[in-house]
Amino acid sequence: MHIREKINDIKLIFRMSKYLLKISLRYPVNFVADFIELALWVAIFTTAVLLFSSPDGKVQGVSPALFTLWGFIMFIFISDVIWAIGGGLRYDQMTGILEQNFLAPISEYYYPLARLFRVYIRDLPLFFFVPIVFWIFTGEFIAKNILLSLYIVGISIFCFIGFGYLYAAMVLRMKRSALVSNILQFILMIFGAVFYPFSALPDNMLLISKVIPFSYYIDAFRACILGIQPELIEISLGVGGMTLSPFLIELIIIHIVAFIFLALGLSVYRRSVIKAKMEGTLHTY
Amino acid sequence: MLEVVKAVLKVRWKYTIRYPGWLIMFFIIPVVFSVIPIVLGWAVAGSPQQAALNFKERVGTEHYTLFMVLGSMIWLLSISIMWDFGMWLREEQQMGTLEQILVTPVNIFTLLLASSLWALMYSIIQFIVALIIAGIIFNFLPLLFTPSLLLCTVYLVLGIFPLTGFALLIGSLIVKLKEAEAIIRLLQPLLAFLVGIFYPITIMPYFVKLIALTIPLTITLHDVRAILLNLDYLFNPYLDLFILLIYCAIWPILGLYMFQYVEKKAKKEGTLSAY
Repeated sequence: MHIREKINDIKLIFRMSKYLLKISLRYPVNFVADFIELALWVAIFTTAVLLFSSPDGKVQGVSPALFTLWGFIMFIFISDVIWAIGGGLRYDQMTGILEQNFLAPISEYYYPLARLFRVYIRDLPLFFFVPIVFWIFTGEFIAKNILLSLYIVGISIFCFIGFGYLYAAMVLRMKRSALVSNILQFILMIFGAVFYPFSALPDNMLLISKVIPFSYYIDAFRACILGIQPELIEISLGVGGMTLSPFLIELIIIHIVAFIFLALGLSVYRRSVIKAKMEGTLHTY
Repeated sequence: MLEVVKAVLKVRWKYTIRYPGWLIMFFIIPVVFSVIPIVLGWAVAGSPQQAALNFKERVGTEHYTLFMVLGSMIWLLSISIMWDFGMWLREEQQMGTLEQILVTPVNIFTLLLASSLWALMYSIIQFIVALIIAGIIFNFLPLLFTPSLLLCTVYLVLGIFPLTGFALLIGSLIVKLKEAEAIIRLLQPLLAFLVGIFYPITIMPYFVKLIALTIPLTITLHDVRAILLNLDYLFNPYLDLFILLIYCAIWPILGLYMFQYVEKKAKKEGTLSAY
């Protein structure tokens, strides 16, 4: 494919995102709710945490509250994929526009992607708003290695997009997206240690955390931005005379997982759209 | 009227059993929700034992698991009762069947009654099952099944009944503003924050406490915790029950009046089915 065609495709996705953003701005309560809702949850969990606090309750010299903050930021990215893609398809099914959208002369990959970009654009202010609210409530803030942390977020987004396509395929097949979205979110909240350090989990739960790929994204991001050692991988690895530090191993893992998810997601999504079109089940819910 | 109630219950039952996955989630969500602050507490304190000690120093009881579970369960019980009517309205709006339902020769309040009855039954079953599951996981069943559980039930019933008024208020907001999901997303954490799902409201600033006291659930949650965990009542048991009785009259009347007003206006403007 020519570069010009690629650029046109990217422009198309942005145009679709703009159109979807316009629709979401038509619902001002929803827009305001995003900010207030998050501030309130931060206040609720922070107040609960304070009831348990003791002076020596630090992990690698860092307050657990900061694990909550950066875990939460990463969680917003993952949660956006789950709700924007799964919930978006479901919404289009309910309002009866999904078939029309898929009949449009554009690639079937673009529509979920545009939905996701719309949500990410909408959430941009949140990534500044949440740390500020957190700092107001707890008085704590650490942000080290910002460029590398942003790079990890970028790689994570590739992985999440791949997962988003997988999830979209599942929604097209299973229909009831809200249920699966809730299950996924709760699994991530508990085993992905979004609100607490991984070290707070009992050993048997930690085993499950290590199996969930998203845990490594949360861990790598937190380790990088807080300037601490990763919690999920604690040993260094010697390869060909070189020693790979735990953080480097985690970086390798997140790159590999992102590639696998992206390749798998694209292929499964395409197949499920073709199948739904053939069976005529695209619009049913 | 009885026929309508029966028909609504039948429809809701059919909807429910069509999605068995939701049923399982319905019982698991409250447990999972209470696990988060508990594990967070372990992380902050360093160990479960230290968490219990720190919690006792600040709240007055070392049974923090029961404290958290009660908070999240009663909160979830109330929101499922409050949101049910509003979400039903929204779903009918989206599917384009709301106007058809409203032109049937059935009073909307009979529909609301049936809908609330369904929500009540469904939520109470969720509450009991989830509480038992959490009790087994966190080993607090002996604390729960005591004679004082009966008194807790009285508080719970008196706290839940005024929520039908809240359900109507939210229903009127949805008819007026349309953005059901946003309203619910906004009110859910606001309610959780005000009633103190994970902390006693006595630690909140004075003006926050004043607002929280207008919500029946605040009194119910605080006093149920007081009964089961030997903590202080909000004021005293008699005064608290008296306030709840007053709320049982005020909130449903206020909700009914508000919904009637908004419904009439929406019908006149022809905006009832728009979303």
